[in-house]
Amino acid sequence: MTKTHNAAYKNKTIDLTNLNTARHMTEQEIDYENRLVNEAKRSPKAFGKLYDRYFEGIFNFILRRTDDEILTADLCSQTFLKALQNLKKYEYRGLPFSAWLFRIASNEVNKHYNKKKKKRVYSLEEERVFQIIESNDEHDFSEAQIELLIKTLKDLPTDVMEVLELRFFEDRSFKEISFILNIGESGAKMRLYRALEKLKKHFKVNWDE
Amino acid sequence: MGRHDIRLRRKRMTSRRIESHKNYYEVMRRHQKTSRLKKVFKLLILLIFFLALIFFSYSLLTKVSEADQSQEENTSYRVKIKTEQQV
Repeated sequence: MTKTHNAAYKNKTIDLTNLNTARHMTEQEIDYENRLVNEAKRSPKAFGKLYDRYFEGIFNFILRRTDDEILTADLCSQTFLKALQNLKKYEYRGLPFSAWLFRIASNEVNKHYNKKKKKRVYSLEEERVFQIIESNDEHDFSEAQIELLIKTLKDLPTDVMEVLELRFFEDRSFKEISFILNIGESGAKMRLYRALEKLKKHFKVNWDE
Repeated sequence: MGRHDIRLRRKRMTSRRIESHKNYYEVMRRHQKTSRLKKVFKLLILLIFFLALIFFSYSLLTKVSEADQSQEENTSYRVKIKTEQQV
């Protein structure tokens, strides 16, 4: 990549400020969710409400990591089965129930890749990517710029990409990310900063924590 | 070679399409099957444990009774010798 090319790309802004805030649950929502979990602990049939509530989110999360609809449906089913089997062990620790489900889903996806020894895939929704990169610009990104963005994301270590995906595509807080990936909160932040540093080499990134 | 592939998906999957993959009945069926298997496994372990307990207690009892018997035989033998000596 020549210096002039880099300079041209630097004019483009990746605006992450509108994605700064993580999804937040009100106390009422948390109470309602805890009630559903307690009901499900008493009777597995009540787990259906939790299944309906989180199926779409978990499906999208797994699909983004596999890019295979049938495999996603399998892993999703496996995730909810594991959750149902281990529901009695679940304890509320200040994080939404969905974080626990995402953790199980993430483990299931990791297990799948370790078993199949396949290269990992991140299938990102185009509209979401454009939401992030177009907000401050009048003109669309050119194909070359999108290619550069994909290449930059491709060159990131997988553990860094995991954090980036959970933060900007799932709107998860650092506390939730650290729980889902079983890493420290500072580790999660460090990985995200590493990703942003890489992106800053080619693009102007607007992001403050 | 990259460490992972990045693919761009044209459209986000619609809720209706995701809904078509929902199968709570199947999840419940698998859960009931695995919990039934777990129960059978636990029962089997319990059965093996009790069988082992019965076997060990039986062998312990037979050992004790054998020891008692041999002790009785020894004492009767000693009494016999003593009476013979006294005579």
